[in-house]
Amino acid sequence: MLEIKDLRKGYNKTKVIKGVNLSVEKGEIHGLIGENSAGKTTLIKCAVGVYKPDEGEVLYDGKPIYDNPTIKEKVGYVADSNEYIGLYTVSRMVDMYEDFYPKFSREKFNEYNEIFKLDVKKRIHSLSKGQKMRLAFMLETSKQPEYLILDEPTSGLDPIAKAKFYELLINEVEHNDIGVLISSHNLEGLERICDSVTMLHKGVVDRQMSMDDMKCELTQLNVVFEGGANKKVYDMPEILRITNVGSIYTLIVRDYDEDFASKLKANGASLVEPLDISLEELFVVLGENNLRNNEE
Amino acid sequence: MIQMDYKSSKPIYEQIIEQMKFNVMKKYLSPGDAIPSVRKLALELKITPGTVAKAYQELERQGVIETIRGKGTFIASELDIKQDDSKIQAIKKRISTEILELKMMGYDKKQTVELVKNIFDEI
Repeated sequence: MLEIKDLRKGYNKTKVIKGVNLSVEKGEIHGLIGENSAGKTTLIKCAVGVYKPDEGEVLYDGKPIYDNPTIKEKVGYVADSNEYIGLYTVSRMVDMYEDFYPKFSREKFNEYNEIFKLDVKKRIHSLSKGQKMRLAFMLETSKQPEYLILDEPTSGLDPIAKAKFYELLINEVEHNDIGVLISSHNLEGLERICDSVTMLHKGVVDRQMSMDDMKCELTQLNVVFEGGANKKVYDMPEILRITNVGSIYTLIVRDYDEDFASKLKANGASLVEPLDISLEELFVVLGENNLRNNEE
Repeated sequence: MIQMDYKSSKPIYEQIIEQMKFNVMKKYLSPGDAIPSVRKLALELKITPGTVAKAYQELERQGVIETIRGKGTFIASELDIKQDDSKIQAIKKRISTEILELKMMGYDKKQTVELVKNIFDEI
């Protein structure tokens, strides 16, 4: 298990991570989401042992990762931008990985490259952003790690590569029982693969729960108010957002249940239809709401 | 294999259960056929893995599918779908509201039975 315990990290006087707890079991995919500068990359760099935490600890199966090569061998890390030795060719980089990591599998790299199709004779500085991302993912998974830490791994990937990436990732998790921590702004993708999720906001954990519980928190409703909704409806505290086209209203509400449907009906709704809300929409609505609460 | 209706108010996991059973009844899926893993189906249907896991657990409990560790998930080799009393009661309730509707439109007993027979044969 990967455990991040009461982690704090800052640069000079700026505190970026202000006490974060997080754990990822083997075989689990944990998503890390948050607005720009929420602290995702800093948290991840501490999680892989690039940064030394100011306080708190990062443990893999009970052992700290910082300055610990034996643990680092077990952890694959794909950074948000991956700079390798520019003058090296791809195949020379693969040789280097093979020298460094005892469990590195060249067969696996070649198998993945059948899919991602990088020209191994090319020098790394001539690769595009998306190609560097493919290279990083292939190198790090060919290490046969027990944990994979991914920072925005789909940025720069084209739609076909992105679909392949998700497929390969879930294969790794299912067949090799690896634990994955993945940060991304591609929420539509995360929603489909993550078992649980942490929402980071200004360096602290805003929400941390299973993906299903997260999705249950808010519900989108289609509601018909013939002749328009009355003012009481607009004042209901459960409603986070209300928009309408004619007499069809779209509501986003917190903790929806049958009682709330009855309450709407008592206020003149002739139809109440709950719909699934996407993680993306949920994130946007919660973000707007945080903003509003801060202003008040 | 499975088509979701995201607009339906019926929970997604129930839709999966229903369609998986439909595929089995229609013999589109036979005992021993491999079905996608939880994560694969979630990726394909664009839903959370937890939702698929919930449906699979229920299907497994009802004896429709079985998971063999390290191999995957399959349509149960010995399909024996248990008759569940509480479930039958719930179905009875649903049928009676539908029949009431037919009755109001003037259907008699014979016509209603005929209709049910036809639906039964179709499935």
